[in-house]
Order: sequence, then structure tokens, then C-alpha cells
Amino acid sequence: MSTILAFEASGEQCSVSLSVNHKTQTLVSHQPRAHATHLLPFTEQLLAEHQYTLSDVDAIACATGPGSFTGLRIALSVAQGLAYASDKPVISVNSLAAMTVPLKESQAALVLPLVDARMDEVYWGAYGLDGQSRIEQKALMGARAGFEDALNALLHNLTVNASQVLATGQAWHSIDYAKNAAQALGIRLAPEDTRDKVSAAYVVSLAQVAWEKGDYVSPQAVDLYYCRDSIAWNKRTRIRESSSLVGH
Amino acid sequence: MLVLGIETSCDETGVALYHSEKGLLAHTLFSQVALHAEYGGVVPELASRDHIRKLLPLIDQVLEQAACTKQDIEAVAYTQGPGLIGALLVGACTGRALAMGLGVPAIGVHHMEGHLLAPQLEARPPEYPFVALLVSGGHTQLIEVKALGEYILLGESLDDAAGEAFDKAAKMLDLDYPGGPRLAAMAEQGTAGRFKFPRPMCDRPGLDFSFSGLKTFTLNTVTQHALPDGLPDEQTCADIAYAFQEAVADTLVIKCRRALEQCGMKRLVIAGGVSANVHLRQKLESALGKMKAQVFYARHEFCTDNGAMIAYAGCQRLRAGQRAALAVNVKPRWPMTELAGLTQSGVQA
Repeated sequence: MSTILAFEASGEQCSVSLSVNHKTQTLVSHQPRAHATHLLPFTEQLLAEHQYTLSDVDAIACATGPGSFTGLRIALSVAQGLAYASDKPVISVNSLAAMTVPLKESQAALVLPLVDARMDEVYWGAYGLDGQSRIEQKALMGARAGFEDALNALLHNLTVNASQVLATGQAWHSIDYAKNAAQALGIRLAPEDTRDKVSAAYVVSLAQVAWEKGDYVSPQAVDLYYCRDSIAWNKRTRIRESSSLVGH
Repeated sequence: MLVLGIETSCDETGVALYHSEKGLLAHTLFSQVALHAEYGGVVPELASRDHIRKLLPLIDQVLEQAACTKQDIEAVAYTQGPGLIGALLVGACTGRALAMGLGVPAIGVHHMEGHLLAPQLEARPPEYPFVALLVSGGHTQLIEVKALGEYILLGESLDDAAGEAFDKAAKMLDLDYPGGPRLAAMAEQGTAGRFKFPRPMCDRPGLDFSFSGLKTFTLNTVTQHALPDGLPDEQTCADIAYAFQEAVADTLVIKCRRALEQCGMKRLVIAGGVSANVHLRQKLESALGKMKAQVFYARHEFCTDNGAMIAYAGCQRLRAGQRAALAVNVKPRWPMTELAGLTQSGVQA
């Protein structure tokens, strides 16, 4: 039995869930670039519906990546601020792992969540239906050229037959090379209603498991999982330097 | 009222505790200068990543310094803008959530109002009204301050900010980031009178500034005196630094004097990173002394970005009844003249 408040803002939408003894209520906004305006009003609304205050919450969960850098920080800043103020622990949930939650009832041996990371990169991972990660989630660079090979190698390494795999995430549809690779290898795409973008409801579901295992930390100890680091800035730095002497 | 102040608009994470009766109780700052130095400028994404890592530990630190607990915090003030959007979001979201969690009010603070009010934290604070010169890496503005929250823009830079010009001139002299203070240090070894740089826009009326021509003039001077390795000799570099600093300081002094005369005032406040420039302070004091006017500025560490000025500015607005809504709205661009006056209480946009 647990009461968990969860935040998710790693993509185009953002959401907040409050789960009280496994009954979860979720508020979602699809408004782009406005995540920071919604998370706290949603929180207030969800707590008010239960006539709760933060002191009634056991833990605060947050999707900590991979995903939109700014979105991840908005969700974590809010989670950290609330948790710090109310002396609650934080449960960090991987955004890709959260995407496998709606497929729990499927018969797949392996679930492959995929997120478009732009700049010819994708984030991906491979999960069993127990929510356990089978590979290290990472950003796959130069994805356009090498995606099908990488996908093939992944299945080979995990000794999984393509027919037992379920691919989830909008990126499997929106990115042509991903869609084509799945088709070429005979990988099924998850039904449309289950490959919704990451939701706080999925985050809260994994957070409950983590809570029962005692898998939580102080708000100061949470790290974001960016998946991408210095390579991106080197490029940006060059752009900045070449323009910096030109003036305003 | 005990106010926690949070500043994360650029590359410094600043946190402070200010009490309306007891004054400043604690302040701390983590500067990311070393982090950005290898890129030759602030990398916004790296700045945001560092803010979120440092913020809660810094809050712990000020509470410990002030021997307070978080339950003692009666309000939270955070920088709402202007600044880097990703960096602002970290401080604003954390600060607003923290206030909600503590059940106390919050307020979003205008970063430049914070700077403008920083001298109020000193032992000899300026009385209202006064003229303020805000000079930093992002701003060069002359503002008539009728009262707290009542600002009239008198003039501003039409291109580069003074601090930005300092940094760019420093880059031309191959000085490491952040170049402004390094250029000022180099100028101390310079010879007066060897180079004469223009005083942009001083030959015509008005209170606007322009520093981009001065930048070009500097680049041309550097190129003309360059040795085969690309840079002039060390003394020439110092002489150029001297002439550049002199030109910027003179221009600022001329416009400040003009602004005081125009407003019929005798008090000038200088604030922002460039207000830490010793040469500028000396020139202003000497020039304004002649017209029996006074110059006010903050201690060195409160000229650059800090949490204390945000806690102070936030405290004034909170006491006037202003509040931030739960929806966090940061404003990367935010003209100071759009700020609500202190008489307008209620919830912020």
C-alpha cells in the first residue's frame, strides 16, 4: 500500500499522476513548451481531489530520462522542490522502461521502446515484460545509416527471434528508417493505444514496484539520464565561436 | 519575513537567505566559470545541467550557515527572467515547488531589478529616487528609478552590452574566458595616451549607447600592430586594453552625468557585473563629485550574479502583497519597464 505522486515531462506532453493504493489518477497536457506551467497546478488539483496534502504522500516519482533535456529538468526540479520541502524520498524511473508498462499483458519476449532524439539520433532500450532492462539504454548515433544493422545485432545478441519482439513508441512510426527496419526484420509494432507517449501513469506503476523494494533516494541524490553529452556541445561551440566576433 | 532567494539565470547558481528585519543571514554561490572556460563562453545546456545538480546542496548550505531549518523559510524568491530559458527553468521550478511544498508564498524576480537593488544590501544604501546604470554582459541601460518598482528607461545600448564588448575585446587580445576582468587587469599595465579610441555616440544628445564600433576599432588596432604570430607585443596589448577600458568608462561616465542632469538628480546607482570595474568606479566618483552627486554600488560579490539580490528584491515585492501563481512562467526576454509597480498587489503573470 502506497501513495505516490509522479511527474513526467520527457516529451511533447507532460503529466502528473497520483496513485493511492494502486488507484491512479492522471492529468495530462498536450500543450507544447508549457510543461512548467502545468505540473504544479495539476499536483494541487490531484491532491485536492483526495483532500490530501504532501504529507499524505509516501514518495515522489519522476521520469529521469532519456528524453527532452529541458523537459526532464522541469519534471525533476518540481519533484525535487516538493520532495525537499516535505522530506519525501524520490523514485527515479527510466522513461524508456516506463514505455513498456502498457504492454505488460502482451506475450512479447522483448519490448523495444524507441524515442526520436533528433540530430539523426534515437534513444532506445530493450526490456523484458518484468520491466527489467536487457541492454544498456543509449543514444544511437548516426541512426539513419546504421539502424537496421544495429537492430539486427541487438536481436542476435539477446538471442531473440524478431517475431517475439514488440516495438513501442511513436518514433517507430514517425521515423521512416525505423519503420522500414522493423518491417524488413518482421518486428511487430505495438497497438496504437499502447504506444502513447510516456505518461506519469506508467511512471507511477514502476515507482510502486521500486517503492516496495526500497529503491528510492533523497531528492539531492537524483541524477538525470541524459544519454548524450559532450559531442553535442562541441558542434554547438563551433557555431558559437564562428559567430561570436560578428556581433549581435 | 525570511526569504530564500534563488538565482539561476546564467552561469552562476546563487542562493541566499534574507530577513526583512535582520537583513542578509547567509548567501552562497557556485560559479560555473571553469566549466564553460574551455568552450570560450557559456554553453546553455551545460549551465542548466549544473544548476540542477548544485541547487539543493546550496540551499542546504545557506540553511546551515544561517542556523535555520527549511521550516523557518517564510517565502521563496527566484529569478524569473531575463536569462537563459533552460537555466531559469531549473531555479524557477525548484523554487516554486519548494514554496508549494512548504506552504509559503513565492515570487518571481526580475534579474535586473535584483541587480539594481543590490546596493540596498550595503551599510549605506541609496535613497529613492535615483538614476541607475545597469551594466553587465547582457545589459547597458540607464534607468530613472522614481521609487522601488517604478522604472523609466532613459537609454540603452543599441547593439552590444558594455560587458559583452569587454569580453569580445578580451578575445581579440587572446585573453581567456571570461575576458572582461582579465582585460581590466591587463589595462593596469597600459600606457595612458598611446592610443585614442572613440567615445561612441557622445557627440550627439541622447542617452543611448553603442559599443560595436568600438569593438571594430579595437580589432583594427590589434590587426595593425600584430606581430607575425598574430598578436601585438605584450605592452601594446596592455596599451590597447587601457585605451579600450578608458573609452568604455568615459562613455558611461558622460551618459551618466547627462542622465543625472536630465532628471535633476544627485544620486547614481551602478549595478551589474561591469559595476565591479574599479576604473569605472573611480572615474564616476571623480566626475560626479564635481557635480556634487553621489555614486552607490554593491560590494564586489554582489555586483555579479548572486542569490542575495534576488532574496532582497523578492522580499520587497512579497511584502507589497505580490505572489507568483503555481504555473511557472519564465521570461527569457523581459523589459524591466514591463514590471508591475509595488502598489499593484496580487498574483503575477
